[in-house]
Amino acid sequence: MKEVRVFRPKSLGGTLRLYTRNPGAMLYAGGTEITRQVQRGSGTPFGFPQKVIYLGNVQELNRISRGQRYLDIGSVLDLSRILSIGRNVLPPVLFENLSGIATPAVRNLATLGGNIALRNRRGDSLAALSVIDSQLELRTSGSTRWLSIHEFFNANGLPDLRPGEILTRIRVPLEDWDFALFRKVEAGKRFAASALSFAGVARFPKGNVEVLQFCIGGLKTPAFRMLALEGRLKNASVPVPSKFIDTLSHDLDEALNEQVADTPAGHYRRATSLRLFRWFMETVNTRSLEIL
Amino acid sequence: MPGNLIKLRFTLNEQPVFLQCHPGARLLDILRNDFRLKGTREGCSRGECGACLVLMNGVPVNSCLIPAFTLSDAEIVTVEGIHSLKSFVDIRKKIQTNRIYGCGFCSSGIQVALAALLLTNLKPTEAEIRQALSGNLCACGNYNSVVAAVLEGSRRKRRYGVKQR
Repeated sequence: MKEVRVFRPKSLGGTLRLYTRNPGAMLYAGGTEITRQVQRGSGTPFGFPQKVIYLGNVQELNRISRGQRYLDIGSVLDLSRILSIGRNVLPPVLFENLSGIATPAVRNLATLGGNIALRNRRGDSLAALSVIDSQLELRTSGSTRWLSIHEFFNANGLPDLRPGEILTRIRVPLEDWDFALFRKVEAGKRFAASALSFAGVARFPKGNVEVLQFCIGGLKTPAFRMLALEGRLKNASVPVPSKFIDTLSHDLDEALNEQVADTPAGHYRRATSLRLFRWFMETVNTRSLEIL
Repeated sequence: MPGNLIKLRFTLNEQPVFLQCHPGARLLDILRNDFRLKGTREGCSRGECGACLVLMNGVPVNSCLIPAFTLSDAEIVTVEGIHSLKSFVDIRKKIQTNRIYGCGFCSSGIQVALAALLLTNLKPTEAEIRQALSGNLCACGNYNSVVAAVLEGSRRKRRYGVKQR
């Protein structure tokens, strides 16, 4: 049985200094993904690497604060505590998303930071966070930077973390939406990352689209947004004409060429993405008729 | 035991306990092997089946996913605690009165999940009960009878305003 040294810092400053001095250490927060990977069977301890930094005691990472325009969520806050803020405060698209992740017992352990910064698989929260323009705070012992979700991932779809850098906060804008929708398409295995997730939000006062944003998770780009298409929908009248939806679907289909592989799974992802987009647009139309 | 050891102090079924173990030891193994609390079952070891549920600081967690180094100062309650502690007497009566037992494999996990729910909500709705049980796999498909039993217990309590025996 190999030696494992566990650091349990209590302050963020101490954690960042520790991580700079031990760049190969494993960061451990909720551990729901890590422990599944390092299981060694009944009666045997987890196979952790030599150095582990446990983040659960760091006060600064366990906080949640609410401003007038945004919510700051500490990266090691578990999903249940985030959900306990309530449907009325959390953006509905994020609430739907988080409440569908794993089981209640796993949500008591799993953290939002872990879901975003996983290296070996895509977290399910990316589409919902990206569609509402959430920002991530990344800190080292000497610097702080803020990134949007899509800037956080490099060309290979991996988290673009610098040496000694830790995801410390997730800033979620608190905007009112006339319509929000989240759907997750399961991959079959219960805890596998979902095959596909779709998040969409829209605001359409006075019969015109003010903002309509959508994001697809699970493609080559971890959180795929088509800003050009969203821009074309600005000021469009609602209900959006079906011919216009056809044109947009066609453009999305072309954009998906770079996002899916030419395999059966890729074809499935493409077809499902298009179906979800069309369904989102049709639901926006129905909702707009109810409101207007 | 070879490898390095850490000293831990935490509360187990409302008793302070001290333990020296490998930092990566699983809580499930600690409970079953070090404390001989065999009511916590080992199922999938991946957090999927809910057989190993325990209460950690008042909320249900999968003990197969918890390494020892996260246990410092934690409060752990196992199914044995739910069956014996004074603070769980109401919940215990509810579980026993309504015969919420399964095949012996998933039942301890189901009882811990229900205890966690009833700790915060003594009159749960059907949706809340089903949500609480959504992390427990029961191969017998016993869910409907468990849900019905908890609902019936809540109804009786509302009707008479007293706890059933």
